[in-house]
Amino acid sequence: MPVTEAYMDPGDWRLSCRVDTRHLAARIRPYGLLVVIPQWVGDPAGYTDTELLAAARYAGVVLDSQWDNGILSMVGAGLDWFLGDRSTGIGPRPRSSAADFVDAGPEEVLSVLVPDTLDLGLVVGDEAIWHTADYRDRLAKVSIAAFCTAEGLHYRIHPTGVIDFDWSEYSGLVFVEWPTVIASATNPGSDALWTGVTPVDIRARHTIRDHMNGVLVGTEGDSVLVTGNVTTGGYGPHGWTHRHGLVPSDGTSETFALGGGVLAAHGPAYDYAIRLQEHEVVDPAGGYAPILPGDRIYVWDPASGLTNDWGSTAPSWAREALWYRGEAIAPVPVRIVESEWPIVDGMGVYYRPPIRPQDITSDDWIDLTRYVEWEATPTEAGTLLRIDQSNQTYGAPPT
Amino acid sequence: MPPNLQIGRVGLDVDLNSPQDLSFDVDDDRRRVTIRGYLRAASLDETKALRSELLAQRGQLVPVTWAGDSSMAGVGVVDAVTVDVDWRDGALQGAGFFRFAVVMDWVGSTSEVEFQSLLSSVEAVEDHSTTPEWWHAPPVGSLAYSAGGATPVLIDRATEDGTIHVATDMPAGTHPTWSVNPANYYDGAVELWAGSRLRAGRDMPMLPAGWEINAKTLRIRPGVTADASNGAIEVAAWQGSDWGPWVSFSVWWAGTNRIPSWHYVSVLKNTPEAVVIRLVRDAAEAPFASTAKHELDINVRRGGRLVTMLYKFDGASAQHAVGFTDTTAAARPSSASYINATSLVSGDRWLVGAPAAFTEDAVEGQVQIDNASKSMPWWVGVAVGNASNGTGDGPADLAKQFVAQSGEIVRAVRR
Repeated sequence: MPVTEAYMDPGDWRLSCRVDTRHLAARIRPYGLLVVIPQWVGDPAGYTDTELLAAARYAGVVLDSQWDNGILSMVGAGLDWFLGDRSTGIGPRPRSSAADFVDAGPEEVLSVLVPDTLDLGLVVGDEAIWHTADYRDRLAKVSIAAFCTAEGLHYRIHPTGVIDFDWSEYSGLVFVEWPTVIASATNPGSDALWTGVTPVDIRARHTIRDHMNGVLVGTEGDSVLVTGNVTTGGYGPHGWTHRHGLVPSDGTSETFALGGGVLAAHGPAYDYAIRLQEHEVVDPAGGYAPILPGDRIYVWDPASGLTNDWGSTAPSWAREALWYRGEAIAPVPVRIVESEWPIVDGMGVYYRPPIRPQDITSDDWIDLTRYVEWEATPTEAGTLLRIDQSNQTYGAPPT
Repeated sequence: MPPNLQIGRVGLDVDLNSPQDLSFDVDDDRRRVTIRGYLRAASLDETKALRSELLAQRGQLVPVTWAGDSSMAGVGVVDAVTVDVDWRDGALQGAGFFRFAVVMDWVGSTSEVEFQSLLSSVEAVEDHSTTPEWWHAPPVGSLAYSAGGATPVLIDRATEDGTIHVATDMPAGTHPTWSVNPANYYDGAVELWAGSRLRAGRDMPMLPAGWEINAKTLRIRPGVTADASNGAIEVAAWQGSDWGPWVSFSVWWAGTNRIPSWHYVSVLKNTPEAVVIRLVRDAAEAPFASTAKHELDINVRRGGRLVTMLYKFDGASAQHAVGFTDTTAAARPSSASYINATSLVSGDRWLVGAPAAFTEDAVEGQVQIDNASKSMPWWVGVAVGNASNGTGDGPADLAKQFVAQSGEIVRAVRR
């Protein structure tokens, strides 16, 4: 019954109850939120709605609730689901002419694209952005993804429903950009200056099945070749391997931006999965906040190729060896794209009904903690991280 | 005289009796060796040492030899260890009596097996533009050392167990192979002694004043005053036929307060190739009270003439200093990453170095980093017999060997 949190993606979660809760059948419905608080805080009525969400480790939307002879089980996704569901094509689709942007800045674009269910929070970055695109009637999730890819932004949605954006010269205000956590396979353990976590399994996989190193935008016979900055690939027996796709122009996006977005979605796939012994990584250097998808950590495992040997292409701080537990290691800073963790005994599990924000109070919350079927005790639980080593971009570390 | 039964390091310090039974189990997928016997030494403490060190070898690559059957000498990976402490055996009476069973995956005998050292060649960051020269030493008595296409310079160093070959100036990314008889596997190996017993794993008694690392070329021990740690680290060098005198080194927090003692010691790594231990001091005690801690990680590799140390203080950043505990006149060669003592100690030249930019105190023999930091990597080296630069044993050579840090994992492979 794990929660799978993902970087700019809904992920999913599931929850089962142990005992008959038929008295709640009328009250627990989809569209409500499942809220997980790191420690059970007791009766929600003792806190305000805002306080409970601010203390939450995770909030997700209930998509499915099922009662089998009175036993409840629920399935849902993260708050990213509110931006729209790509697979069904159902979600918020801004209709007004305000969604047709000409030389718009990021605040203007995002205040239109981010739907009412979420609250636009920080929009940070230090470069000017002038964005021209027509997103009318387009699914908000797709529009936001296209805008982010085109302009180099990324975002995080907090359990409070606030969505923060950050862009290319990454500020460190939204995500952990300069790691303080090290997962070392050869030398796991603690250190005074680093938070060490213990990888128990590491799997590294590289695949090029879906890889494109160029894309033709247009139709057969009438197209423009976009290669962007992509130079990856390899030589076959006699020459370079061309891996080109064909994408129709959508009439509104600039050709090179569209092409760039398609190429970014078809890069070589590097799939690294690391199972940690710890079920929660809390970083003292980061103010004791948990490490979440989108944050960077250092990983050192020469056996899987997880070493920092990019040579001169990465900035100096990302290439330097560091000292950890008496040894010099050269770990690679990687971004966590997915984190799967169990809901363990000791956490607080609550249901927040889909009532109008002005009207909801903590009295409406339902405490499910006593009914939950726990997945594991904290000492036997572990976290599974998926990390991304490709397409890294960096900002300058703080001085 | 070779020990009766030797399973890894167990049997090297306290004798291990003949096994009661020894079985081989061979099928398509794997070969297993099971050794059963009992642990009984001259005293209960020694019997308990056999128990703790046998348990500590779980998961390690171990050579096995037995005087009763020389044909079974070989190498295995310990899969499981069971030690029974049974009152019916009078287990804790007299000299003790524990039954043991060790199950291992058998890699093979000397003729079937050679060893490969996987080296992670990581260049330490430094401010002095020292060219790294990677180096590696297989056990004393090993032969058929191959660095693939690379051509390291092979030098000899004297150790307490005999002459060890050290491959110096190896290219980064070399993973040499070598062969050695199981009976010689630990010759030249780095040993961790704690509580007067040889330790085989990561367990050691909490004795900040009662440990010693014997790397056969160097020995390292804590400075002790009145049976308690006095904060110093003492190092001695093997000079060819005997050990030289102990030379003492200390850490000065922020360059002003010498660390007066260490509270805790633990083992981070204990392999024949390298030992890393950690000393911890609570900073809540005067003279620099704060809710922080000091850590000193000490890293010694087989065949080395230098000790890598990493001092950390997780409170505020400061300009820490390290150096000779006692006033020692020292000189810094032009833009070098180290200082060396002006006078020889029993014919040897001792050095202290640090990769970060530092200012030296030539009168006291200390180096202090120029930029405040929470960590200070540093090192102690000895040019035995005042060896000159260019031989692989001179001060400038050791500086290059320090910058070329390597973690080593040894595995046994079938020939």
